[in-house]
Amino acid sequence: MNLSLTVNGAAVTVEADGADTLLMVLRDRLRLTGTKEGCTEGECGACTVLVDGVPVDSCILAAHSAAGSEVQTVEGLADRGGALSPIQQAFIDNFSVQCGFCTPGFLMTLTALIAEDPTPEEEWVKAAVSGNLCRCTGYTTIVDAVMAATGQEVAR
Amino acid sequence: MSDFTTIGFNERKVDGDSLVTGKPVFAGDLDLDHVLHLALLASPHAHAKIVSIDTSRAEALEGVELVLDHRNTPPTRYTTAGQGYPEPSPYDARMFDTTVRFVGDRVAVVAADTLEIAREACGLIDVEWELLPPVLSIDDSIAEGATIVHPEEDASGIFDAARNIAGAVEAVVGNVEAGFADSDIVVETTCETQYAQHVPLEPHIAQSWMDEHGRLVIYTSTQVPFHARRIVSRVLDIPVHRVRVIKPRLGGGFGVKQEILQEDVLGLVTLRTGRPARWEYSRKEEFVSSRTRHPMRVRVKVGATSDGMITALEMDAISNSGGYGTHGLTVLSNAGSKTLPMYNKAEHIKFSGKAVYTTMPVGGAYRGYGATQGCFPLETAIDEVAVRLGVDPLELRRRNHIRTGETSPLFEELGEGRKGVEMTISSCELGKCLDSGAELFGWEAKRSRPKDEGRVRRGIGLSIHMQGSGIPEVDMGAASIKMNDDGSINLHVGATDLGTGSDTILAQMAAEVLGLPLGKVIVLSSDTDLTPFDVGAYASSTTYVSGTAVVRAATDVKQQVLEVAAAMLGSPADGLMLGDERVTSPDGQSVTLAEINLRSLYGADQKQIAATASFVPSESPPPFMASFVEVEVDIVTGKVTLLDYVAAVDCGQAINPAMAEGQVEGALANGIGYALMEEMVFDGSGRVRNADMARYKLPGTLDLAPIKVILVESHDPTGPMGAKSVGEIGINGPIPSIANAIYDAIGIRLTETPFSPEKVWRAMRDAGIE
Amino acid sequence: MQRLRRFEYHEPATIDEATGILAAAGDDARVLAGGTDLVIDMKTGRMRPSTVVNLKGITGLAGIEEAEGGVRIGALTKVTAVEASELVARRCPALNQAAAVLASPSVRVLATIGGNIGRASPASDLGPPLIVHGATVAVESPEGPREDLVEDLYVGPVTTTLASHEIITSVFIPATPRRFGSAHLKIGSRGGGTDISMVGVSAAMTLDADGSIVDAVIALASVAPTPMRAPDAEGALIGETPSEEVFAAAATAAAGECRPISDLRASASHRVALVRVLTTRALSAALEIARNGEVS
Repeated sequence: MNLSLTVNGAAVTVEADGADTLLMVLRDRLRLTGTKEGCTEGECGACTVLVDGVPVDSCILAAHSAAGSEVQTVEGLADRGGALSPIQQAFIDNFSVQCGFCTPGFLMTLTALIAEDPTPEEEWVKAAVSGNLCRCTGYTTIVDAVMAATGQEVAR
Repeated sequence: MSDFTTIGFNERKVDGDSLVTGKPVFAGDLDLDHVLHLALLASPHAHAKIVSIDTSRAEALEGVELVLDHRNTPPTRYTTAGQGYPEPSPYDARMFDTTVRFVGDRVAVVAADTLEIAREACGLIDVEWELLPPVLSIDDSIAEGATIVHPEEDASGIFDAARNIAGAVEAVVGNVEAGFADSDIVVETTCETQYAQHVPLEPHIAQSWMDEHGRLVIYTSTQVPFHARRIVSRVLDIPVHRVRVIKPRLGGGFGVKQEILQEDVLGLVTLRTGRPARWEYSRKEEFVSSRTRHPMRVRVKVGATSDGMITALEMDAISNSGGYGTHGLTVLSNAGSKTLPMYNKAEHIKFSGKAVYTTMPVGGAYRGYGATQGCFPLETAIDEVAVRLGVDPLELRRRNHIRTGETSPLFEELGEGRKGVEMTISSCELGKCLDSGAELFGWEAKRSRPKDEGRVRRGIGLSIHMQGSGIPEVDMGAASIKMNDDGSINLHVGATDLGTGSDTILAQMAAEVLGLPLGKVIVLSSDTDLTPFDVGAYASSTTYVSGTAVVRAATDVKQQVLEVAAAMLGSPADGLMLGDERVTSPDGQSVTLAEINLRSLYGADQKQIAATASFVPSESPPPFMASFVEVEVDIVTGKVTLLDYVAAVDCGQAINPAMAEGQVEGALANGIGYALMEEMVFDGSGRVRNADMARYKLPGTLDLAPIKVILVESHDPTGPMGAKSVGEIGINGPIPSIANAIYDAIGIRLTETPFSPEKVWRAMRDAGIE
Repeated sequence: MQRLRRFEYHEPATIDEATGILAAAGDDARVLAGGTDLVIDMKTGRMRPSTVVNLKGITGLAGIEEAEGGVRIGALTKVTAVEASELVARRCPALNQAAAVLASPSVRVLATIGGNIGRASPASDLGPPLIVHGATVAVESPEGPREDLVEDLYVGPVTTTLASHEIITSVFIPATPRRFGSAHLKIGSRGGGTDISMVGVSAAMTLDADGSIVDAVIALASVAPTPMRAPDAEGALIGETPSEEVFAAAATAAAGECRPISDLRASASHRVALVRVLTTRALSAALEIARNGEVS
């Protein structure tokens, strides 16, 4: 069965059956491997992508449920010239990346958060990424990055 | 402050750009043509013998290429532990054995065109089992007449197979019995720690293929590429030179990827079929079939004088090594060797312990490596000494902790499963850690406020910690540097960046010595064909051991640069200055690094400016930490909430302070998870009941206290640029600090982790608090 | 990467078409709404449906609106929409609070209210608040439409009175009287709502002009095979003037009538203690709203 959707601004049509999750389509069919699989059950958030601007766990989303949607992945965050988005740059500047495996998921959740609220409070940031798990950082630097990317004072 | 130009600065992570843009840098991102997918048939039994195995139905399934089990694989005994050779772990495992020793143990592996086919084929393998009595706990293992887990005759290096003891160790200084007799007070406690998993966000994943020259290439998420090459070569009986191991970026390791769990099977599949192969653990397999933290039962006895001096220390540890002995002896040793030396005023010390076999999941290396388990009873007992003497626990530690220029007799008596190495502490700012940590935490103010009596009660606790910087006279790191015609360098290290940032800090060291901006250092780690040897990333060794190798190689390259410059400038090499990418003579003339290398590569006296250097440490200067926590205990629900966490750390000169802090913060978060929520739960037959992330709880953003890390200024004269290592120490703090804070809040000493709401609630109910 | 097992997949355009496919497919057909439970169950093999009917193509199944005598919520309405709805916050505080602590944000954005009800988890987050609000569901099947109380749907763990060819199309929450308040609380082992509950409690109460309790409903999650009412606790409240003692008596009654099991998340005895705590807290929160008359 054909599945048509827009991925990072480009219209694509791929063969996908009802058993495919959006994550499989992204990684296996479209070779967009930036999106990661961590737990397979919507617990860790490593597979988070934006579907019509909203962060979802792509490992538990049936691919056909995203038919016709605009999907954005980590590969679509930097502009065409390669300039990093503010949150990507802030992750580098605030040492929010250690192993980097959870990073794409965090970046997508936070991209949506900042789009919705250009100056989110710290508690709101923590709530927004409560479904994204990181085993390396302890999260402090990730919250710092959001504060920095949104022009707010970084706590330390 | 020094006049470093890059050391001590928060240089950006060298691999940061590729990670935030989602480039295909992880082992699973590689897309190989005609790849075979591997699936594991794991043992459903904790302990059983394979009477017969019939794989014919699986082999007949379309798309199945190969099925491996004990009948068609090498019987060589080895250890999966990626440790220095010869390993201090027993050779008690086979690729596929005729006996399985835990639920999740390897029975067979299917290689097929797709993962679905491989998994389906696993279901078509018929095994006839002879069930053996399971050994499900430390008590089962040490009981009189216990079932022997490793009766096989071809195993080697087992301490006492007949008594299920994989490894045992004892170290004695002075006479503890006499010491306790002379003490004014004696405190004794026994604590138990639970099974836990590392849960790297990326489960184990590796791929393999034959290169165009017929050599086996293994592309693997490992902390130990060189050990992987050696062990694959040994198990598959092929020469080391036929194997190449490449380590791409790792999605976390924390010790679990210091184990050779997939590379041997992948290698054999590719050798047998000629096809590329891919093996990716599911999250469930990561929990059930990989490695865990060794659960331990540790008894500690502390003797002290009435004026608060610790005089005698005894620690007795039993570690549950699971079905195999990997890291059993060494993790056990570190329970004592990375804790007891902190209290070096004690003249009488005894450490004894054994790692016992059970038919439970296998312990492995896990950040903290025994120190995490040992410091729980020790720091609990020290806290109790302070309480009984009416002394501030902060003050008690101030009086007793080890200091610069001092030693502990235990350094020599207790190493990793053998004698250790005599060592004088070359840097210790534990006193400053206690002072600055207490100040930021507000220890005095919080200690002097009246006790809460309501439904929610606050409490404060502290503990002190040490780790090491590599394994002295065992670990080896090496680095190669060559300089290019634009003055840039290639830095090739066997050291393994598993997300820790070691590529960046090693580049900073080379850049510092050679007067280069960080952007001119191109780091490659690690590839057994291209980079020099390194034991790998474990035992907090990279900054100290691999770092020293980098500094040595860079210093050699610098000398070669100066010699070429001397010829160009007509000025003696020993008077020249290197900095800002140029060499300057005393009279102010200069040549750039690019000019120097253009001449060296194309002009006169042509040669490649390059050097390789190695380093084996003769000591292991410990990083130190003072850890402070404030908790709130809900006496109705038992829920423990963290209100504040401060850790002050002495890691020597921080090469990159932000990244060093990040190591501590992350380790603390992992330790908080272990202290409060993380636990592998088993049913009565040894099966893990919560082998997924919905039921095994990792801390998220809403579970952690604000964590504040202070790096206390320090300089270790033996370390590269004054540095010590810092990757592990943070994980040790949470358990004892939180236990002591819970005691302060509700007057109950918890001795079993994790401190779940249920456990705290039960303890309060038993104590009559409601 | 984990793939799902093979099955027949349909994307019908109408409810009639959907129920027709389900009726023809037999008992092991499943409806796919948000998929947050079904997709996982299919990955793990806990469920192996022969047919999956994705409702996404059917229009008119999502949305929250004021309806005659109450609020109607389409079955495919995402939990995030329930959480964000002013109308729900005003009319059904307990439902609003429960929606905000159902799993993590990236799951809430997929999960639907109809799916949560149909799943019938003993730990359901939306079941207890819907029960205390007396909510009903509209159900379609080839036999025609029917309505049922949410409370009456639950039969056992992950089991409802719904036949496999029946589809929940909407949820109706009746308007509440004056001086009504409701609240929902849950305890999980992780912070926020990111975790399945150890215990969940919803409480609703209506006061008379003098401030006495004229009606009270309490519903519990994770302490029985299904979300359950706590009639003894309700009885301890009705006719009483709210006080610490009255709430404590109700909490004790709730603790006495719940029927928890011990599992990975908590033991039965700890759950009983938690029911007591949460019931007291939920009642206090509901009282506060009833007194302030936030619900209109």
